[in-house]
Amino acid sequence: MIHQFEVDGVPAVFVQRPGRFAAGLVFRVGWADETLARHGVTHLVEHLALYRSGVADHHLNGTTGPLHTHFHLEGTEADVSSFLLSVCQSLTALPMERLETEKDILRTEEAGRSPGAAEATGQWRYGAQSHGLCSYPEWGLHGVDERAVQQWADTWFTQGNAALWVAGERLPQGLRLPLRPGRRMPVPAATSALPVTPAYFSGGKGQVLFETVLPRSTATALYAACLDREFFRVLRQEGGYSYTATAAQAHRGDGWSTVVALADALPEQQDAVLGGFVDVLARLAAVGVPQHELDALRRRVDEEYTQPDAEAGRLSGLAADLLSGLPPRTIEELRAELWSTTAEEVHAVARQAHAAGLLRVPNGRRADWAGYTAAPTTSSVAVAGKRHRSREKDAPDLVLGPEGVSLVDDEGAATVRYDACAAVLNWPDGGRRLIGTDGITIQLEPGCFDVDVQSLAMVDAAVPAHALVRMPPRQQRPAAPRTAAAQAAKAAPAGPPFTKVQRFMLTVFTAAAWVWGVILAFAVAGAAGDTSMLTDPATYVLYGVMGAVEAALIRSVLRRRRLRKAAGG
Amino acid sequence: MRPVFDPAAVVPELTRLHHAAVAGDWQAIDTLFAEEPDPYGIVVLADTLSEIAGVEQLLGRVLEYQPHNLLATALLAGRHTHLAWDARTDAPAKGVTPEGWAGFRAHLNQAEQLLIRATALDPGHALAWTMRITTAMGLSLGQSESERRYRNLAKASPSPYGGQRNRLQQLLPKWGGSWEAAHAFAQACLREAPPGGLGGAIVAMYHVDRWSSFAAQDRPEYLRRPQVRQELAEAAASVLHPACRARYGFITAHSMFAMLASLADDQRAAAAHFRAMGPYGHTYPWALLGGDAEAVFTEHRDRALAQG
Repeated sequence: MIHQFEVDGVPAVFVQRPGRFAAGLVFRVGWADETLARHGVTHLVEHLALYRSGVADHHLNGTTGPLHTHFHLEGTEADVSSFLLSVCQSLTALPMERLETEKDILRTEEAGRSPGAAEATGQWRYGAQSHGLCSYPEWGLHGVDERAVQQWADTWFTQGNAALWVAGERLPQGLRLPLRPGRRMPVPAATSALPVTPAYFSGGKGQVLFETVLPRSTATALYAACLDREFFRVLRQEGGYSYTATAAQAHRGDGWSTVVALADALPEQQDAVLGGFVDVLARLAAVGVPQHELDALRRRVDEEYTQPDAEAGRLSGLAADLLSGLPPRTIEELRAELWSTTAEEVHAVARQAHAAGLLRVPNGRRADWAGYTAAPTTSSVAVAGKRHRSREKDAPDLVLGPEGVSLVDDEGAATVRYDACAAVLNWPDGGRRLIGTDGITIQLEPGCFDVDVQSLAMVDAAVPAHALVRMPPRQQRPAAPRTAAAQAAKAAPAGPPFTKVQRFMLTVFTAAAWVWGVILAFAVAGAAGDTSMLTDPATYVLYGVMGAVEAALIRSVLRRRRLRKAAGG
Repeated sequence: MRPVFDPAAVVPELTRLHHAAVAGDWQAIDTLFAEEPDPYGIVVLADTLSEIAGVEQLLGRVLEYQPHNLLATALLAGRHTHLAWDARTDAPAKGVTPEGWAGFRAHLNQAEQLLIRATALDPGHALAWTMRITTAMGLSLGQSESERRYRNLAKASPSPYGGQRNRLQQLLPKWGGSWEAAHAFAQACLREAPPGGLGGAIVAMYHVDRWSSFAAQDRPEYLRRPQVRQELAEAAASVLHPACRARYGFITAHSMFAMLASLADDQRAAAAHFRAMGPYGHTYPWALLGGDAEAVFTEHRDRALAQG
């Protein structure tokens, strides 16, 4: 049974259950509220706010999502109170002495993260804005200073924009949430970079991906469960084409759900996986799901609802719903809806899913044959302005105009307009990357075009200040593209986890650690049979130095692990 | 006596189908398909219909009133596939104009989307799967996809001769396959064919293609190779089997075996196939020899029947 209450003006939900206490504080802010040029600032606030909670015995963590940021922990009653108090106090006065360190940690976290389905499709569906920002590196970290970070926290992490959930034997006493006053922030409208759906793009190394957006409902959940079952049956069990063939849904946080399906493939089976994938989607859209299969799926979902911990497991979602203005639903309501949803309703969702779908086909493939329209990789028009020839052979020319920048060649144009510019990355060596809100990217490298310095300075002057990102010096410049389309290709790869020099140093240090270890082991073993050495002070000095070096190396490895864990959000 | 080359003389349904299509009589077309028990007969009827100019209008009208009519859906896809190859023309790939390629792709896309729908509504629709092997080839959807489609077809219709013919094309080097893969497939078709089935003719089809890939002076040597003779003799036995009473595909199957035997100067074997064909003849694959195909056929037939 869910009880609603309030702590310091923050709406809260509580479920009684035996065992450890758990609690979470949710704010209605996420990356979809950021701009590309400030992308990462919410994540940075999350990390800074958790710093003072330290690495106590209890399990705590933070997560930043598209629309919500969540601080949560499991522990004793006292842990809950002190954690929530510490997070709120930190949010009102972030530990700025940690700013640069946390930025570094976030960059490490980013480098180590392997992109998932949302990162792969985000920029294609939404562009370089709102929910699409998950496809991009957290470039906003480069520019934000103490003032900007605190301002972001003061605007979004407020009493009016928060909700609390608690689970435990009883409602903890003396809960305090000393947040700044503020207002509930509306959910941002989802943007679109797809003029037509169903759409497709090509990319990736063989994994076929499908993403679609549907109203959040039980019928959508059942459709996702059905898709999951069909992909597994057709692509793995019957065809043997894939190892992983699965589908899942996630609530986007605004009354809509994202359903994502993926299937992997060996290089020689990629075409069959794509074909089978298209057919499964088409079949569900054409005939829906048979009644007996629907009933089996229903029973599976119902089992989750009737688990003893089901109420507690829903709390963070309920808190998020409170903030998004969505009505809280009881499990009884959800179960009633589960059993009253008809096969026709699921069929209607399947048709809608197909019509709104975005398909990623393996590199070099198309999906026009299956009725999917190619997602835009170029712009429909170039800006009017002065054309500057490329100095590279067969590379597109540059057009600089009062309204924006274009690259043009025989195949088309890539355009970023100043009034629809998500970010401009600005390197000290003169390199510029302009990214439009539609995700179209233009890379300007010094010396690549027959253009004078004044004209290029005009670009800098015309770029909106809020879009500018001053980047640190870079190791190497990207290679010049051959065509405007290649230039415009929506790709924002994060850099490699380590640079060449770092990799070299890492190898050297690792090798040194092993050598020291072996010498130390032999020295200890040898000394055990040699009493004269044991009386020589030099031996102890040598052991001391070797031990210290070894300890330092081990410590550095452990420290790196700890940072990653703490950065788990 | 001069053989009869008109396929409709063997299968009068072809004439009836033609008349029904020209008259816009969907009911008659539907009945012809419904009454055809041979899955390969259905494929031949669909191929025949796809060649009739303007039939897409009739099929479009049927689908307006019966959007779930899967036969009309597949037949319209067949017509689009035919129009695709018309747009591409017979020119070698380098000689096809950009407009030709665009028309080819556009018609194949239309055909494929109709067929995706047909197989989605009925995953056991053998005609649609047979056609999807051809569209996959034209759309360059890759070998593994072609194989997936063939597997789906074979699940719906075991030893599907029409699909086997299409699949063999994709396995040939000219469509991105290899002689080894095509050869292995042809042998498998023979092994898996039921008694009296036409699967053995896929072996002949393979050897016709392999033979024609050699330069003119090397061709006779190829057909005299003992392994080739042996394979063809084994495959020929399957179509000469008393149980082989196919109406569709029977004449072209014997026509291929007869030519390969005649060119190897095995008059006895050639005569067996010419006799099996009765009074009928076929220009395939004799047209590959150049000149007047009917005359060439007749000349070889007369020689074989006189000697064998």
